[in-house]
Amino acid sequence: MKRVTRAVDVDELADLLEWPPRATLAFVSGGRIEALPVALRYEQGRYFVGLGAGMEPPAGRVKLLVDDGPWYFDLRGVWVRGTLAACQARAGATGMRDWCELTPEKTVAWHYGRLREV
Amino acid sequence: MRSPRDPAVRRFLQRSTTVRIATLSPAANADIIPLYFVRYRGRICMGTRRSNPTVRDLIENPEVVLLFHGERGRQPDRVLRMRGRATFRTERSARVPVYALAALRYYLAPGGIWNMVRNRDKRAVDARYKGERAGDGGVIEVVPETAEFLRLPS
Repeated sequence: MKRVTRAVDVDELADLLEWPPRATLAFVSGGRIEALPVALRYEQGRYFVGLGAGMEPPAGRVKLLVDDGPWYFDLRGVWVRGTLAACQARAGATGMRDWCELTPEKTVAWHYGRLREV
Repeated sequence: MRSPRDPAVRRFLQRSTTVRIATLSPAANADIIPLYFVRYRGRICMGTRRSNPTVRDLIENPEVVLLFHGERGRQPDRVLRMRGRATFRTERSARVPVYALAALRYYLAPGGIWNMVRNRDKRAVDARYKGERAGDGGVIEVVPETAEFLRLPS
């Protein structure tokens, strides 16, 4: 039986990842949920996350969200669950940030403009 | 830290089109998703389905973090972060006003109408998509407790 899906391959949203209008990171700190805006660089399928200068990469699993909209059929986004590890500053990056690489465990992408039966 | 009733907070909410809601899963993992939202009776309200993992999370752990980006404003370098406690409500008296306000804000606004017109060829498949998921709708209702403005990493 066919179902309608909004799911797309993450490669179909490469433009969103390369030019993210916003990126947010959720993680657990001291047993509490925490979330904050971050910078994102998507380079050849790898995710680099820019945190505020001096901030240690959160330990454990984190979830990165990149989304766009706001109108219904323009809603699209990607979330990536994985772990962060400190890395070198990204070439061409400006501003005061510490950079981490996100190693994905699971990635989900969606786009309401591409609803279809599968 | 500001009061959620601070006028600057209210203005920023008006300029924000989407909320990112972060929750703690029963397995102690962080979740975050974007949702449409409206303000109603001092609460931040989001329509969604009971089967949404975020609902499962907040039933177990009601503490949530909300991020607003003020997309329609003139200060793209600021983000509003609110903390609060969330409940999931399914009674008609909770759903009807929130769904009505959301329809006005997102589907009957000029941008929303134009989006529907441009994508009219997708309306039928969207109706099937919603039909497959009908029947477990409700409202995530967050009582804000704190608010603060954050600078985006520059």
